[in-house]
Formats: sequence, C-alpha cells, structure tokens
Amino acid sequence: MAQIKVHEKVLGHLSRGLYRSPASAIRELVSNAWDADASYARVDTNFPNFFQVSVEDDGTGFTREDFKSLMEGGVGNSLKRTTQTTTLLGRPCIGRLGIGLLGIAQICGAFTVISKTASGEGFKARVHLYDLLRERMDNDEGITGEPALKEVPIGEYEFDKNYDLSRRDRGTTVVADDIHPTFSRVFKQSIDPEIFPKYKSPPRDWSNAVKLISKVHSLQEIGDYWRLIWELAASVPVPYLSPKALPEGAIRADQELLQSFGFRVLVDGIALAKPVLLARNKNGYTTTLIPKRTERVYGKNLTYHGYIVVQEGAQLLPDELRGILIRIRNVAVGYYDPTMLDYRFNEGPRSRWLTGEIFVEEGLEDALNIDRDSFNRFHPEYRTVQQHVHGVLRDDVFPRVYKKIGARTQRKSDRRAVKQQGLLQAVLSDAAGSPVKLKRGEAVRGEPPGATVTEAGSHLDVELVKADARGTKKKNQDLAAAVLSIFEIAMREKGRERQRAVFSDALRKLLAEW
Amino acid sequence: MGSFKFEDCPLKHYIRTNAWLPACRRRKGLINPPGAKKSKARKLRYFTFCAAGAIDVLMLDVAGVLRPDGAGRFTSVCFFDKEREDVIETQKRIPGAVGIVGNFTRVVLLDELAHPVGADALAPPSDEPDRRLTRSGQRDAEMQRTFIRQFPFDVINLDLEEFFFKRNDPFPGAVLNSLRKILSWQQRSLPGSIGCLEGFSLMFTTQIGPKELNQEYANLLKNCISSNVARAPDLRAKLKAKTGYDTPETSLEENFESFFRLAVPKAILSVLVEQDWLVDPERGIKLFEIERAREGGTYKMLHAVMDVKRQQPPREQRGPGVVPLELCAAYQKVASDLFSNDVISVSEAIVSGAVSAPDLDKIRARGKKYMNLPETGGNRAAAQTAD
Repeated sequence: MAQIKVHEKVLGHLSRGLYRSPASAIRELVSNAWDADASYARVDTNFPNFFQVSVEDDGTGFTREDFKSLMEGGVGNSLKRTTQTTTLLGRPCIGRLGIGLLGIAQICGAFTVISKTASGEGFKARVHLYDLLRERMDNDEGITGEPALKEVPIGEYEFDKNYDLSRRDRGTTVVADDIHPTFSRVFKQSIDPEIFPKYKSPPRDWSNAVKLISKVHSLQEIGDYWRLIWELAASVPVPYLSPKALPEGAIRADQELLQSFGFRVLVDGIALAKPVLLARNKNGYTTTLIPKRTERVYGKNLTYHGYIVVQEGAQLLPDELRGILIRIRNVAVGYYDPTMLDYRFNEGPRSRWLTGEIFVEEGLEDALNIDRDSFNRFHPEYRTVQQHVHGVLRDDVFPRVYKKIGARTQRKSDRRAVKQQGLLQAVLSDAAGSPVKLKRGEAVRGEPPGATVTEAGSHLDVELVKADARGTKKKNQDLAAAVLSIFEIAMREKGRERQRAVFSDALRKLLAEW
Repeated sequence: MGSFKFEDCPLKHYIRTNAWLPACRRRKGLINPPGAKKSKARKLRYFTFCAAGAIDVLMLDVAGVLRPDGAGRFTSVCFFDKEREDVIETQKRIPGAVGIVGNFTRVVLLDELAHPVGADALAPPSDEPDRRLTRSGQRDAEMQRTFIRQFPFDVINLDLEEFFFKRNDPFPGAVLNSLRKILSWQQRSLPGSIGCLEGFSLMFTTQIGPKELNQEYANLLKNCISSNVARAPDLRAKLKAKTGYDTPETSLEENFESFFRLAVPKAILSVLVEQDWLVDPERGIKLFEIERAREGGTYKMLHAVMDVKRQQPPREQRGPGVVPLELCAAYQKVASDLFSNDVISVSEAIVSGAVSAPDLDKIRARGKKYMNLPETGGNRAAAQTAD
C-alpha cells in the first residue's frame, strides 16, 4: 500500500501564522514555564509602548545543548506528544516546549532566550527569523536534503559568549523584540481613550478588573490590551478568583488542585486568575456538574469532568464567556465555544446565558489541530466528548432552565395580576364613591364574559369571570374585563354626562398604571 | 538583573538623597503649591536613565514626591535603557512607566521630519517590504515620537554614566545635540492644554574627561570660559584660584579636571540659553563629585543640579535679536557663581555625617512590592539576589 506524505514546508508556513491571537502564542511560553515547575510566569508587554514582549519564569531552565537540539530539528519533533506525563512537582505535563518558542514568531522577527538551570548551566541566545518566509520556501530557498527528508530553515540563532550568567537566577526568559509594528500599533491604539472611549487602565487587582469586564458586552469594546490579558487569564493554568467563583461549588475541587500547583501568572504586574465570577444574579443559576468519567475510544482512555452553569434570565457578560471551554491538562484549547461544541438545537437567548468548562485529564490530544488551538471536530475522541456534553445539555440543563423560566413567568404573571387587581379595586372604589370588592366567578353559559355589580350593604361587589373560565388565554381579556367593570360602575350614575365623566375619568386612571 | 553596578553605592545614594531629592521636592512644591486647588494638582513628570532597580524613582515614591496613579502605575515617569532585559526589570519595579529601549542619543537625534509627531509611524508603509530593516525603522520613529509626546518634564535627570564629549563623536557631540533637542521639546504644552512649563529641574551627570579631546572639543571648552574671563577681570583671579592658572588654555592643558568642572556646566548653561531657558540665579548650579576606583586608577563623576526657568517673554513673543533683560543678569550671576562656588566632593566621611534619608532597603522593598511576586519556592533565590 502507498504511503501518504505531507511536505514539511507546511511547518515553515505555519510558524508565521500558527495562532489566532498573540495571547495564544504567549500562552505557549507560559505552558513551558508550567512544565518547568516554575512558581511564576511573568509576562511583560512593555506597556504602554508594546515595543517588546517578554515571558520570564523561575523554572528549571534548560542548557545550551537542550536549546541547540531544539533549534536544529527538535521543533518539528516536539510536535509529537511528550512521553513525560507529570513534572517533577507532580503537575500534569503540557509538553509543548518547541512549539512555544516557535509560536512567539507570530508577533516578532527576533527573540532572545536566556536560561539557567539550578546547577548554574545556561546560555543566552539570539534568534533571528527570516523575513518573507513564505516566498523563500515557495522558491525552495535554502531547503536542503533529500525530497523525502526536506528540512525547512526558518531562521538563525547565535549564542552570546560574553553573557554573564551569574547576574541572573534559575529560570528562563524569552524576550521578543523586532515586534511587528502592527502588533505595537494595535495595542497602543487599544489603550488610547480617543479610539476606545470605554478604555480604562486595568486595575492591578485582578478581581476588580473582572468586575469591570463583567459590565461590557464584549472585550472588543475595551480593546486588544484588555483582551490579551483576559485571554491569557482564561487559558493558562491558574486558579479561579475564589472557590465560590462559580455557584454551587462547581469548581471547588478544581480550585484546590490548581492552588496546590502553586503557579502564578502575571501580566504587567497583574496577578491573573480565571476571569469568571458568577454570583448575585437575581434569578439565580442552574448548575450542572459533569462528574468525572472515563471512556474508551479506539483503545485509548478519555477521562474528563466539568460543569455547565446557566445564569438564569440574564445574558453573560462579556460575550467571550459564553459557551463551552475545553481544557487539556489545565490549559485551554482555544476559547469559550459559543456553539457549545456545535450543539444542533436552537435554544434562542438561553444559549447566551450559558458557560461551562470541560477538564480533560487524559486523551483528546490527538484531536487537536496543528495549531493546538482548535479541534478536529470529526475526531472520534472529540465526538465522544461532544456527544456526552450535548446529552447533558439536552436532557438535563435546558429542561431545568425551561422549567425555571416557566416558574418565573408564572410568578411574574401572578404578581402582575395581584397588582392589577389592586389597581382596579382602587379605581372602581374611587369611581363608585364607596368601597368595592372584586370577586371572580364562573362564566354564564351563552353570554360573553362581562362584569356584574351588586350592592352588598356597605360596599359594592363587582364580579368578573375567572381567567380560566373565559375560554381564551389572551391577556387583553383582563383589560377588557376591567374596562367592562368600570362601565358597569359608571352606568350606575344618573345622566349620560355624569356616566360619561365617571367612565372616562376611571378609564384614564386605570390605563395610566395598568 | 541590572547592569549598573553602582546602584548600591552609598556615595551615589548621597547624590540621590541630598541633591536630586531636594530638587524634586522643590519642583513638586512649585507645580502644586500649598493652598492650590486639589482639582488642579498634577503629578510630577519625571524623566530618568534609572538603572534596572529604578532606585531614584522609588526613592521619590517613598518620599511621597512621585506616586503611582490610582491604578498603581507610574504614568508620569519615562525612562530609557539600552538593554531590553533592564527595561523589563525596571518596569517590574515601576509598573506603567514609559520604558524606551534604545540608545538615547540615537533615538533623540533621529530625523523628526521623516516621521512627524502627528504621523503614524507604525502604519504599514505602502511601498516598502515587510523586512527587518523596514520594521526597525518604523519602531525607531515610533520610539522617538513616543518620547517626544512625553514632554515636557518637570524634572529631567540626565544621569549619563559616560562622557559628555567623546573623541570620535562628530562635533559638537551627540550628547550636546541631544540636549539641544530635548530642551526644545521642553517647550511643548502640557497635556490637557493647560499651558507650557515655566520652569523645570535639570540634573546632569557626566564622567570627567576624556583628557585627550580633539581640537574642536578643546576649543569648545575653552570658549565656554574665555568670554566670561574677558568680560569680567575678577573671574580671571577666580579661575586661577580654581585651576591654578589664569588663562583658559593653560588651565585646560595643565589642570584638565578643574577646568572641566567649570567648562562643562558653562556649556550646559549656554545650551539652555540658546534654547530659550535660563538657570535660576538664586540657586545657580550645584555641583557634586564622586570618585570611583577602576583598574589602574580612579575616575570621577560630576553631578550638576539646577532649577531652570523659561526666558520671559518667551522667544516666540519677542522680536528678533531681542534679549530679555532678566537673562543677562541671571546668566552672569550663574556663571560667576560657578567660578566662586566649590564642588562638593562626596566622600564616605560626608556620607556618614549626612541626615538620614530614605534608605536603600526601604526603597528596594517598595520596588518588590510593585513586582507583586510572593517569596515562595524558587522565587526566594530571585528575591534575595534582586538589586
């Protein structure tokens, strides 16, 4: 049988357009820090200039030889899943070292890597990426090797022999300079209040920042700088703002786990937490936990758990929080999916109330697209997760939501009816010049629903047909009955002029507050 | 972190606390006088070459002279650094400060006309290819524009740990030409159209030297003194008292350092006047000196501190060739004081006798607070060796 081969040029092309956003590229470097058992990853954007971006960590670092191996052919190899499943500190390995360094190429033409291990070994290297890469590769410029084994050069690197490693501590710093002017421009514009009138400087306390974000419809309103921070907060393996960030303890166990890893991510000095805080919705929440489950798919384990929360009666803000987010070993793949993994039923505005996360502990990696930021939607493992989530939505989440909507609607209707009753009673009493009691009775066979007024000693009884005896559910029948009752009261006056006056006066009062 | 090895030097810290801090306090008092409406109060706008530890900025923060805004950002601070990693380190400690990576004189002396301040240097050019050269040109232009937009500053701290004049630098030197430019940019309006500055504080540092200057620079220094000595004979005696010689030429040749201490502040004074500023004659130019050891000997750093005022009326409101009355008297007094007053040579004896000031530990602790990192695990090592 003949083999199917893919030309490695594809990888070179991808290196300059791997991710949808700078946050995804920076996230990969944060993932490297996590895998290196760092206690922090610090991102600095050179705010407010954005002329360089750096990611620094205090992890285990790597040696010159590691770097050399990575640069000279190791990047392609690093696309395969690492065999190491946990780090030395017991963190689930994310395992994308090379692709992380490559991903930064999306926003810069050169970067510097400085790394130092605990034993004091290390290096500083400068990496230049070739300009006009697509044209070079399309012309086979610089490509060497046999047709079956073509290597794709995408740049050059050089060690700084004079760098004094003693001036730094253990860890790794990647500084992306030769930042593309478009990147700098977009971010500078995003903090310009003349272009983004809603822009406010992000508070250094992230919980205050999340409160601000929860008042905008979309991150687009507040600009790309806010979006960058939010996207990083959503995607990196940091804890939530608190164990109560979601209702009914939906993330309590995950929060404990994330906190136990002791990993912080800072962006321009702001310590991040997951940007979701759902509390104090007046209609409450419908929370559905997806307990941990393991399924076998083509001989491999697929283990995951999660939650879905619906904010009853109120659209989630910002829009970017809507949908389902999948995390593989604590790192988000892409962003919240508002299609809810291609859910095929139209739930109308209810779908804008929904957010959820699926935490995949084992499996689903093979379903990742080459950008590692989206899924192959036809992969069996993805389909397995999707099918289960859709079942939860269809059989559990939305039925409960609709039931609650029904209950709320009924309560609202009841409250309105009580209020209308009170108003009618007051208007009729005022028109009649004596107290009025409203009664509800059955309809008279053969006659349209009307109103009957009878004297009952010190007050008048006004009887209207009960709503469920009218033979119609139209809401305007309540108003019609009220108008008829006013008519009956007015007709008790002497003289047409007086009747007309009482009727129109009472009708105006009723309609003013109905 | 950080490439400035004298950040912890007690002599340098004396300069900070006894020269720079009082000048900044005074300037803050001038821009926000007691009794002025709070609604009109504004932050001190500060430019510096602080090293990675940002000690001078943090010192001003600890002293309450320069505080971050409500969001915890030092938005009124701008700094330059040649090293990318040092810009990162500095911005950790003074978040929100405008940090510009690059060579100061190179950025300042870029051709402004190629990318005027109003133009968008970062917009994709229509005809140039997306190559490194194109992109770096765009970034340089934007860096200059960004820097210009930060002007004017209430305090400019040109703490150049290098020579003012360099042998191989085309005359009259990048530093002098940069000084000219930034002094012209100082005439820009304050943001919010609240007018222009009436004055600012200037701190200037230079290494004394190099001794073997070429003829053009030697003449420049001599000319700085010659006109004064020619106009006021009593200054000749003062020149002799300072340098041991009563002519500029001989002073330069025989006692370079002493001559330098006179001539360079004079040169700065002249550049200020040229750019429509003048040194406040009441305070004059205060000079301090630090001597440091190096392989094979020592070298000296000269620190100058002065309050600067705009000439009145400003040039754009004067006729051609008209010299403000105040200027001549002020200039002569400041120049004469340079001849008369001593340079304070900062030694360990002076430092130990000085009034207590924000100490370095407290200042560093403030920086660590802004870094927002807990001292846990692997980061303990980083915290201990920081600064």
